[in-house]
Amino acid sequence: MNRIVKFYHEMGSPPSFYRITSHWLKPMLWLAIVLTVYGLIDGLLMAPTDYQQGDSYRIIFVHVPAAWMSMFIYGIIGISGIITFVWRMKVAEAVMMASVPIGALFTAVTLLTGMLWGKPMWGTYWDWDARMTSELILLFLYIGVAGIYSAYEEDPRKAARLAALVAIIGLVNLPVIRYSVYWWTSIHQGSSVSLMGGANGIQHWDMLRPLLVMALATKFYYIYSMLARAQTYLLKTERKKQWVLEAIDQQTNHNNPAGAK
Amino acid sequence: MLELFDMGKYNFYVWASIAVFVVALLADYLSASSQHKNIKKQVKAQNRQVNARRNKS
Repeated sequence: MNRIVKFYHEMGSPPSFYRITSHWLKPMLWLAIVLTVYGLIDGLLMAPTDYQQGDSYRIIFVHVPAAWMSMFIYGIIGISGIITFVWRMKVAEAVMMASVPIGALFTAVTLLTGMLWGKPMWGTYWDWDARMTSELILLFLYIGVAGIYSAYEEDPRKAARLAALVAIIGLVNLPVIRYSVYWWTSIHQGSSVSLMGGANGIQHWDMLRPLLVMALATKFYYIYSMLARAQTYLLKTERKKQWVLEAIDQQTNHNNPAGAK
Repeated sequence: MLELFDMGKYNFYVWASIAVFVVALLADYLSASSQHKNIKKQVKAQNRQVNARRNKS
């Protein structure tokens, strides 16, 4: 327990956050690449064809992981938004703003792959249906958080607090997306995977496995992308501080042990 | 082997989706890693200035 508390406090201070996460970037990126390659091969070439949707269902292997990530990342933004707002932790600000680009990207991928799936299955690229509309609102929320931040960028701490406020208000959209297919009549199909099992959704392990592998791959990629951007954020906003100079000096010396400058 | 890649009448939709996914993540990787490298370069330049000033005085 003490170790967890200590780890939490360490991760809250920019210098130790930077030092600890520097070791995570490469492993996360490699895990993401290996799992994506495996997941795509398994899903596109090995998994059996669906009896109703034929080969078009294979879009699920990118669409659903991207959709999960679009909501998961917004959840992280909301939580770090609350921490930013209440405790004014710099690392939370960094995590929040670093999550915005990759989250918005996953949302856009979800919408685009959904359209490409909708055309052959529903006969239309777009419908102003509850699922699609709420996911589009999620994209606007991401853009809103980024926009508010950049409007006050000359004062990063104030910018982060205002962006956090938008992010927290936007949290209300997450359950709307999740339950939209149940609350309203929707042309979108229901969940493909449920924690409780049940008779709905994917039954076949050969179809489920690539989906779960891709879900893991996108998680690892998110960690990579978020940490790289969070480090950039901290270096940028703290560049006048001594720890930034020391951290970069150390990395330089580590890379050229001869001490070439 | 090649028939594994053939999605029949869904070829366009499936492969376009995969392309969207891969291109998006690649773009994110390039932007995240180049920003990361740039800021490090800027801090290094700043370090050199600080050191030069220190050596003078």
